Amino acid sequence: MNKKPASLFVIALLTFLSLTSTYEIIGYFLQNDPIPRRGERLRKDNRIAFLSIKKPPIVLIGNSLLDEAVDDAVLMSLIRRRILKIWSGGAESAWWYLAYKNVVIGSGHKPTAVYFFFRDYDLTEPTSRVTGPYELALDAIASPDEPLLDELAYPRWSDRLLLFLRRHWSLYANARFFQQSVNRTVKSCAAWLIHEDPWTPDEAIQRVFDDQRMDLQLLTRRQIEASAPSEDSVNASFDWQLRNSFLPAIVAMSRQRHILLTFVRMKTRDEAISHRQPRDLLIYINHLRNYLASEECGFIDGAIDPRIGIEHFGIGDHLSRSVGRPIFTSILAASIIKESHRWRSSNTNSRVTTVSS
Amino acid sequence: MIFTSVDFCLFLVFTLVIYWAIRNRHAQNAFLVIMSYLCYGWIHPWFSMLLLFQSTTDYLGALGMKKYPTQKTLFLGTSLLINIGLLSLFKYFNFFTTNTSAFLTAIGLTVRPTTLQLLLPAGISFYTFETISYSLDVYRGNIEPRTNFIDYSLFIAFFPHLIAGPIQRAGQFLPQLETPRVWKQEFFDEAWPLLIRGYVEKLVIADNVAVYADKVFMLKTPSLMLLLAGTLSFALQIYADFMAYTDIARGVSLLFGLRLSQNFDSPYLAISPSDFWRRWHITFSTWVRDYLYIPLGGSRVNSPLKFAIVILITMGLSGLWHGAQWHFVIWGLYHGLLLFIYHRLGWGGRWRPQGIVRTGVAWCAMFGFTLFGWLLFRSPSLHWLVHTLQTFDVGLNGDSFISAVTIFLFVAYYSLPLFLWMAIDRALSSHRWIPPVLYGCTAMAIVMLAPEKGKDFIYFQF
Repeated sequence: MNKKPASLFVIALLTFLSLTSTYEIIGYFLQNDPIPRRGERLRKDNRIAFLSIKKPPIVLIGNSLLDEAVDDAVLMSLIRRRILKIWSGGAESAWWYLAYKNVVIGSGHKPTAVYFFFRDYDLTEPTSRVTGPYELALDAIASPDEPLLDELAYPRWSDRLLLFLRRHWSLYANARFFQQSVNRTVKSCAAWLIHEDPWTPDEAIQRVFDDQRMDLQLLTRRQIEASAPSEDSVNASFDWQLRNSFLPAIVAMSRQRHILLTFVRMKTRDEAISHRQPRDLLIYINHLRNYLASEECGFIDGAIDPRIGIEHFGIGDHLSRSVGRPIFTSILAASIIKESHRWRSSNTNSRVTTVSS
Repeated sequence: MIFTSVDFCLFLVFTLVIYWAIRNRHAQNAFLVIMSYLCYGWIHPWFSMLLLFQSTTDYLGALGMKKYPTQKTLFLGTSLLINIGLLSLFKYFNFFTTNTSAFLTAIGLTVRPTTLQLLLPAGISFYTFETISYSLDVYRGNIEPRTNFIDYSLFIAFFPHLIAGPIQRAGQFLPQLETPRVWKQEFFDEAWPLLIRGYVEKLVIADNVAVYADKVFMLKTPSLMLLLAGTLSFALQIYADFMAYTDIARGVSLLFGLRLSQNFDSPYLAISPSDFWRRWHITFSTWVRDYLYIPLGGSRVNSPLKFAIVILITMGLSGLWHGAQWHFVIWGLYHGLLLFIYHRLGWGGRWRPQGIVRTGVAWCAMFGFTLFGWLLFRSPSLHWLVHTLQTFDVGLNGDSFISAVTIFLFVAYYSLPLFLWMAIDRALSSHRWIPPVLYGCTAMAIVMLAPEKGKDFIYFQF
C-alpha cells in the first residue's frame, strides 16, 4: 500500500461500486426479488378470508405468549362462540396495530370484541421489534402505504434512512437472504464432510439448542433484557408514551366501528417468581388502566392473578402447554363470559376489570 | 453513540468538517473536547460529569505536584485514592460486599450485604487507567504536568478511544495534541483501510460468530466437542470485536490527524504467554507492566516464590479489571500461572524455539492454553464450567458432533477476512491492485452480511 495511496482508495471505491451496480443490474433484468413488498402478501392472507367467511365474534391478537397460553378449541367450547387467534412469534405493538387495521378491520367483518395480549410496556413501545425478521412480518401484513407505521415504528431519521435503503437498494435489502445463503452453504459443507444429507446439520442444531436444553435462568435474563423498556419510555411521561404509540389509533378505529376492546396483561416469569413488580411498571400500569377506562376499553390484569404461578410456566415467559395453558384458557373464558354480560347490560360504563378481583 | 450506529457516522462527519474548518490548534482541541463530552454524554449525561470530575482532579493534582514538590506524594495519593475509589465504587463495590458477606457467613457471622444499584459508567476502567498513568508519570518526573486544561481533557476524553481504548499514555498522545495539525493526504490513506477492516471485523465476523458462542454457553451441559466449538467461536468473536473497536478508533483518530497506539499484533500466533501479552491488548499489558508489575518488583526478584506472588497479583488484578466476577479473576490468575511456569522453564521473555517443528508445537500448546483461558473467561460461572467438565460427555457422535462440526466451519468461514488481512499485510502489500480490490470486496461483505441488530462491543462492559 505504498504506491500512490490516494488512487488505491479510488480503486477500492470503484470495486465496491461496480460490484453493487452489477448486482442491481442483474437483479433488474432477472426481476428476482426475494423480499416481499408491502401489500403483496396481505392480499393472500388466509386470516382475512376466515374472518369474512366465518365471521368470528371474538378475535384475539398477540404473539407467541398468546399462542402458548390459549387453547382456541377449549376456549370456544367454554364460551360457546367462534374465535380467531391472530399472532406472530415475537410480535409487538406495531404488528398488532397492522393485524387489527389490515386483517381484522380490512376483512370487512366487524367482530363484537377484540382482545389484545401484551406484557410489561409492550403496548406503548412502537419501535420494539420492527427490524430484521420482525420487519418482514410487518411487511407481510402491511398495506402499500403505512404512514403511521413509518412515523411511530421508525421515528428517528437514522431508522428512516435505513428503511429507505432497504426499500431502494437491493443489495442491502437482501442482506438477510445472503446471510441465509452463507448459513446454508456452511451447513451443506458440514453435511458433506460427515456424509449426511444437507438438512442434517439444521436438524441437529435445532435439537442441540432446543429451549429445553438451555439454562432457563440465562434465557430469562436475556428475555428480561430484550423486553426492558427503552430509555425513552423510562424517562418520558405516560402521556408522551401514549401519544407516540399505536394505542390511540387502535382505540379510535374501534370507536368508529363500535368494536369492543379488551387488553389482557400477561404475567411474566419474573413476576411469577418475585411476586412483585418494579415501581415504574406499577405506575405505568396504573396510568394505562386509567387511560383504558377513559376510553371504555376493558383491562384484564393477568400479571397480578394469583392463580398463575411459576409452576405454570414453560420456556421463558411462555405458559406451559400442559399445565399453564388449561388454567389460563379457563380464566380467560370466565373473563370473556363476564365481559359479555356487561356488553349487553351496559355499553357506556367503563369496563375495567381485574381477573384477580 | 457506538461506532456502528448511523448517528455516529453523522456525528463524525459533522465533527470532522468543523474541526478541519477551524484550523487553530487551541480551538480545534476545545471543539473536540466539547464533541467528546457530547458523544459520551449521549449514553448518559451523568457520565460526562464524572469524567469531568476525574479529569479535573488529576489535572489539579499534577499541577500541585509541580508547585509543591515536597508534597507530591500526598497529591499522588489523593489522585490514586479518588481514581481507584471511584472505580471500586462503581465497578467492584457489590462484588466486595457480597463476597465479604459470604465469607463472614461461612465463618458463622451472618451479615446482610449492602449493595448499590449504580449504573457502571461506560469506559471507566479505560479512562481511569489513563488518568492514573498521567499522575504517576508526573510524579516520577517522566512528563511535565500540563497547564492547558483543554489539552489535558482531550487526552482523557478524546471520543474515539474513550470507551474501550487503546489506553493512551500522556507522553505519547499529549505532544500530538500540543502540535498544530494540518490536513495531510496520508491521514486518509492510512485511515480508510483501518475503517473497512474495523467494520468487517465487528459487523461481519464478531456479530455473526457471537450467535453460536452465545448459544453454546447457554446450554445446561454442552458436550466437550460443543464446548470446544463454542470456545473457538468466542475466541474469534472477542478478538474480532475488540480489534474492530481499536481499528475503527485508530482510523477515526487519523481522520483528525492524531495517531492512537496499536493494540493487537496477531495474538493467536503467540508461542508463549509472554509473547501472547506482547500481542494482545498491548496498551493494557504495557500499562500493567509499567505501573503494576515493575513497581511490585517483578523485573528484579530472584526468588521463584516472590516472582510467583508478583506475577499472580499482577495478573489476578488484570483479570479483575475485566469485570467484578470470580471467573475473570481466575482467568487472570490462570495467565499468571502460565507466565510463571513458562518463565521457570526458561521460556519467558522473548524466547523463541529453534526450527519449524518446535515452533509449531509451541504455537499449538499456546493456542490451546489461550483457548482454555477464553473458556474460563466466557463461562457463565465457575460452577457451570466444573459441572460441564465433570459430566465429561465428549460428544463424538450424534447431534452434538454434527452441531460442533457445523460451528467449526462457521468459525473457519468467518475467519477468512482475518487471513485476508494477513495476506495483505505480509504478502500483497507491495502489489498495486490487489489490496484495494480486496478492500472493495470486503466492504460489500459489510452490506451483505452484517446482522440487522448489531451487538455492543464486548469491551464496553469492562
